[in-house]
Order: sequence, then C-alpha cells, then structure tokens
Amino acid sequence: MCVWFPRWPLQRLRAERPGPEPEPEQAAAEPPFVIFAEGRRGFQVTVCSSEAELWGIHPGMPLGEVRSLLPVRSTAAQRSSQRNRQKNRVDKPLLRPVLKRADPVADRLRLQELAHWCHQYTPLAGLEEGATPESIWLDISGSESLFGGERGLAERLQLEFARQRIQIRVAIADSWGAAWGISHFGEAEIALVPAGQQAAWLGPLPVAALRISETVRESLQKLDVVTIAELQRLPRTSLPSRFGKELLSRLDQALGGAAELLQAERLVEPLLTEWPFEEPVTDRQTLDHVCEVLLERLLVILEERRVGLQELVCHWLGSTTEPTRLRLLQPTTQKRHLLELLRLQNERRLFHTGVHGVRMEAVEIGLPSIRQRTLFADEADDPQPQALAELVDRLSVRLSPQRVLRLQLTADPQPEFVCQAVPWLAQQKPLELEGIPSLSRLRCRPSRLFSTPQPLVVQAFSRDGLPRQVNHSSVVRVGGPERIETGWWRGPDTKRDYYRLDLANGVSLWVFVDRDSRCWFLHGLFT
Amino acid sequence: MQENELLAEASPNPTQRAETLHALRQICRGTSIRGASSRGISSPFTTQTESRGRLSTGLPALDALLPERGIEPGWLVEWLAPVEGCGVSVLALQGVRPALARQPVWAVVDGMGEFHPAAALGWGISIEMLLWLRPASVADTAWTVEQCLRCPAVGVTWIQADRLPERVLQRWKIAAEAGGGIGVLFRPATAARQASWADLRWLVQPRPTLAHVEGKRIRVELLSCRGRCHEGGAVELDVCDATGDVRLVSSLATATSPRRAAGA
Repeated sequence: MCVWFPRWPLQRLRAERPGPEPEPEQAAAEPPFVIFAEGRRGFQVTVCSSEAELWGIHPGMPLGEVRSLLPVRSTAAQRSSQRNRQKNRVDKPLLRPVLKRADPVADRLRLQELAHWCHQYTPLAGLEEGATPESIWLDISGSESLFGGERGLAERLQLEFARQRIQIRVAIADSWGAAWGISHFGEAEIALVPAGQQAAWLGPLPVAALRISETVRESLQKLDVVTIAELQRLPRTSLPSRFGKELLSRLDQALGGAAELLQAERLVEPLLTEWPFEEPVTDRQTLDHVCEVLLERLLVILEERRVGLQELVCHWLGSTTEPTRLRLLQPTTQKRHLLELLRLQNERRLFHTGVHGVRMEAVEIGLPSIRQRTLFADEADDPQPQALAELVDRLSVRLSPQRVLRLQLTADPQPEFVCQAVPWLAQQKPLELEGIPSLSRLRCRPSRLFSTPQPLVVQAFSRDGLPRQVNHSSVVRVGGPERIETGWWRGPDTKRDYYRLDLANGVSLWVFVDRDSRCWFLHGLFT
Repeated sequence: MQENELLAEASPNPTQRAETLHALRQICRGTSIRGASSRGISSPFTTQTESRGRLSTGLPALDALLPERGIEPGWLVEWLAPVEGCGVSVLALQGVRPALARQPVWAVVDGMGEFHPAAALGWGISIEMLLWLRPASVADTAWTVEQCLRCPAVGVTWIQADRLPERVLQRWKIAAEAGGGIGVLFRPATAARQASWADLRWLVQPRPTLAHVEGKRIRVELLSCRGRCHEGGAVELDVCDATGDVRLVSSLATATSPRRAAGA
C-alpha cells in the first residue's frame, strides 16, 4: 500500500498549527502558503498551496519573482496581481501569501512519526526513498482482514489522518512501484488494484508515475512517449541504451517483474539509565556520584553494542534546573573524558530545588574512531586527533559551542563577510578556495579587523583629498585605493575606497572612505 | 655497621639533598621542569619536552640572536610592542608555520572577535586547523589559554594579553611545558619592566616610515631568553607585505676615518 501526502511540507505546517480544526468557511479564509528552498539559481518555490496558485505562483518559480507578484509598494505588481485574479476569475479578495522556508528535516521526522503510528495497521511500514519523501509504504499482506479488507483499511486510514488534519491518497497494488504511481497519478483517492492488474492500471498513466528522473522524462517527451502504455510499446532491449538503466528497472519494479528493497522504520529502544531518589537531593557531591554511576551503566550498554556516545542529556527529574547537554566532536566511550565534561558543565549549574531523580539518555550514538596500530608503535604514539577532540569538547562545554569556532574564507568581496565562523562541533565543509584573492592581496589585509568600522577623525587632508594627519600623527605613505562595490543584495550598496595609511609613528591603518557620504572609517589594524 | 650503611643509602649526602630541594622548589614555582629533570627528578612532562628539537622563529636574523638558533617546544614567547598596528604580528606569524608542522592546530584566543585570518593565509599558513576561541571573560580567557597550551595537538596558542596576573602566566608556563606547543603572547611594551615567566621576550620598536622605502622597518630587540645571559642584541627588519619579504636591513659600512681618507 502507498499512502501519499500531497504537498506534504504544506500539510505538515497546517496540521501543526495549534487550535481546533477550522470550519470550511474559515479554511477558505486561510492565507495561501508558499514554501521555498535554496536551489541552483537562488531561492525557488518548492511547494505552494492552491490559493497561492491563484496569484500565479507555481513550484520552481524564483522567490524574487514571487515577491514581485505581491502587492508591496509598486503599482505594477498590483496590476500584475489584478491581472492574475482576472485571469483566474476570482471575485473575492485574495489574501497575501505567507512565505516560509522549507524544512526538509522536520518534514522527514514528522513523516517518520506517521510511519511509526502506522505500525498499528502493519508491522512493516517505511518512507519512500529520496531526499524529500512524501509517501509512506505499508506491507499489508495478511493484516487487511483485521480491518474489514483492503477498502476498509484504506478508508480507516483516510479517516484517521483526516482527524489529524492531513489529506492522503491511497493505492493498494501488488508492487510498491505500481501503488506509488497510481496513488500519485490515478484519479481515485482510494485505488484498489486487483491482483495481476497493475499493467492495465498503469498503462494510461504518464511516464512520471514510474518515479524516473527529470532528464529521462524529458528525453521520453521529446520522442512523444507520454504514457506508460506507449513506453511499453518500445522495444524493451533498446531502453537501457537509449534512456539508461533506471527506466527499465523502474518499469519492471512497477509491473512487479523486479524486486525492490524497501527499508522499514523501526522503533529504536531508547538508551537511558535512571536513578530515582527517595527524597529530593540538592547535594552536588551526591549528584556527581549518581552521574558517575549512571554513566558507567550507560557505557556498559554502549560497549555491548560497540558504539560510542556522541550526544548525552542528563535530566534532573522534579527540578526546574535545565537538563545538562553534552555534544561531542567524535563518538567516544571514554568514561574519564565524559565525566570531566559532565563535571565541567554541572559545576556552573545551580540546583535551587531538590532533584527527585537523575535520568541519563544517549541521544545520539556513533561508531568510535578506531585507528589501527603498527606492530611496534608506542601506545602514546600520535595522540593528536583524540587530544584535539577532547580539547574541543572541553572548550565547547565551558565556553559554549558558539565560541569555539573554525574560520572559513568565502569569496565575498566585502571584508566583513570574507570570513565565516562555524562551530567546530558543526560538520566541516571543505575549504573552497575558488574566488579567494591571491596570496599577495591577502597579505595586504590587516590582521585585526573591526566587526563594525569606526569613524576616523582626520585632522588634515592633502590636496587630493587624502588624509594627511590622523591620530595626531602625520601620514607618511598612502597605499591604494582598492575600490569595493558590492552587497546590493543585502540592502544599500557598499561603495568604499580602501587605503592603507602608514603613519610616521610606525602604525599602519586600514581605512576607507564611503563614496556616498565621503566619511572616513577605520576598519582594521596591521597589528 | 649494616644499619649505618642502610642509613647512608637512605639519606643522600647534603649536597645532593640541597640540589634536590632546589629542583623541587623550581618545579613548585613552575620555572624549570627541565632543570629538575637534569638533576634526576622525574616529571610527567619530561619525556614530552626533552625529546623535541629546536624550532625556528621563521626569521634567520632572529634565530641568530638565540643561543641555540631556535626556540624550544614548550616555550612562552612574548612580543612586546609600544603601539598596536606596528606590524609585530607579521613577525610572529613567521614562526607559526614551523611550529604547526609538528603539532597541526593553531589556537587563537581572541575575546574581542577581531582576528582576521586573511593575512595569515597570505603568509602561507593554513587555516584549516585554526581554532578560533572567543572567551567572554578574563577568567575564561585564562582557562582557555591554559587548556590550549596543555593540549599536545596544539602547536601554537596565540594570545593578546594586555593585563595579566603573574600567577596566570606561571600556570601558562607549566601548561606549555606539559603540552609542548608554543605560546605566543602579545603584550604592551610597558610590560617589559615587569618580571615575566616567558622563556623568550622580544621588544619591537617601529622605525619611522620612510616615504621612498617600500614596506615597513621594525627594530626587534631580544630582552631575555632562557639559557642565555643578558647580552641584548637587536636587529632591524624590513617587512614588505606586497612581496612577502622580511629582510634584514643591511648595515652601513664603517665610515672611513678622515685621516685615512686623506691618504695619511
């Protein structure tokens, strides 16, 4: 069985909104939603509601174009929106669409929750493959009779999801591929394909029902192959050479001729240990000791599974104190290191109210890094990667992850944005050296750069309008200008002429003149 | 007789005892773990630091001023400058690359958040293993520096340290010896009058900029160095950012005496 959630990101947002189910009239008054994500050419619409389509918005449209359709300031946009309304013959006033950024992680997580919820109908349920899944598959062989047959099960599912304010389309077929195609492109909301009939049902559907890539679809379209029936008329042996292996494989999977590996969602046993107290406790030593005991127990479980701890949460039950969270750079099973981190974080924690119990939970686990040793290598040989990981963990716990950073250079010409700081605990991106200036230009950058340029008091100017005296010291040499004009997409344009000023007292300043206001600013020091 | 022998074995002679006590005092003061090891007192840090060779400052002219033509892992190096913006960091950057070849991480402790890595990259230092730390308080700064110095993966710990209690510097010195990295401290020139736990102290004086000379001229004076009696020693260097050169200023030949010039 395939359960498809049309426009899933949109449905998830609407279903998660608090409050009772809206009445039909209220539902009509709901603002249209537009969800966008960053694509190859900037932000693009990924999903939009049917109300948003009345504005002329459609998936794939650049976000800038969407904004131009909305009545913001320009009368031209208003005219355009009016034109769209006239074209769509809508009499009632259109509500302004709400723009939301796509959150594929949240979408997937919610879909996983729904797959777990479906375990009440079948023990085998999972998500469709792909980066942005919108469907759940259910293996209902044998379990449909418990719910009044296939139709009974499908209707019950539809009803239950409707209660959660989620619309679905269901198809039941012999193969997952056929069920997916019929649920997405079939006419009925509930489609029950009799055994062995999927070829007949799939025939009139478009080739997109085979879950093929856009490129293959376009190639078929060029040959005027629109439906699956037309595709089946082509010589089978010529398909892989003309359209790649994917097409034939998908066709066979839909028709039930080829097996397909599906990954079921399984409920994971939570890894936690707990210590309840008979009476509320505030004594720090007691809590530290309990933490140590719980950590030992947790590590025993992890060692049995041969995994390491990546993220740990320690809940203080019955207390208002926030849970202690530890996020590590690398998965580890080292008790000494974990205890040190726990103590480091707990020593700054205040327990105003008594703690009724401690619950320690491994939120994320991973494979600990194991390095093969050489036969005669010393045990303490090359301890650097582990030492670094431990240092980063300690620093992140004490200073916070936002203060333990790695720097990445970007190709942005505006000096404030050349450097991008990311936490060490975040995943490392490979260093992109494309667009970064040459070494000689980089050497001419100051080693200390102010995040906000400071106004520069120039005491005297030369004839050509350059500073002659700054900070009560005469300017001996002026290097530059280096003209930087950029940032129009961030707001007002940045128009600056940068100079290096070498003062008589040996100090070198990196200054710029704003070309609009003609004001001078100090931006850095060659320390 | 046997008892006397045993007693003699158990209690070392007074000279040894005095030496041992002196070495222990040195350890307690945090000055010389290395000195203690030479006297036969084992230390947990001895093996790490002693097995390492000397590191270059990155500038042969400065290496020549040092007793063993380089600095030792586990040293604190102080750069004292009278004003900010006089180019001292360019000189210190030259020593970062040799140190990072041994231990790859460069920790920059920068509470202000104004460190700009472009210049470092320009001088050929990779920033892939740069650990940029932004502690919010003085106490956090002291703790952070100590942790970095103590870590064997960190090759260079880079600190702008304006005002520091003596005890903090002492702790940093012990931590640096334990970790085996180099601590590079930037302090105002006024700190030259104070006693320091640093193993090497450079005083930097910017020379007046000359309009016709490209780059910047800096005088570097050796204030003190572990293992060397105070003899002073100074060099003048020309630093050119555009070409990436740091050159020793060639000294002028001694003027010919008027008598010799007259052919006498």
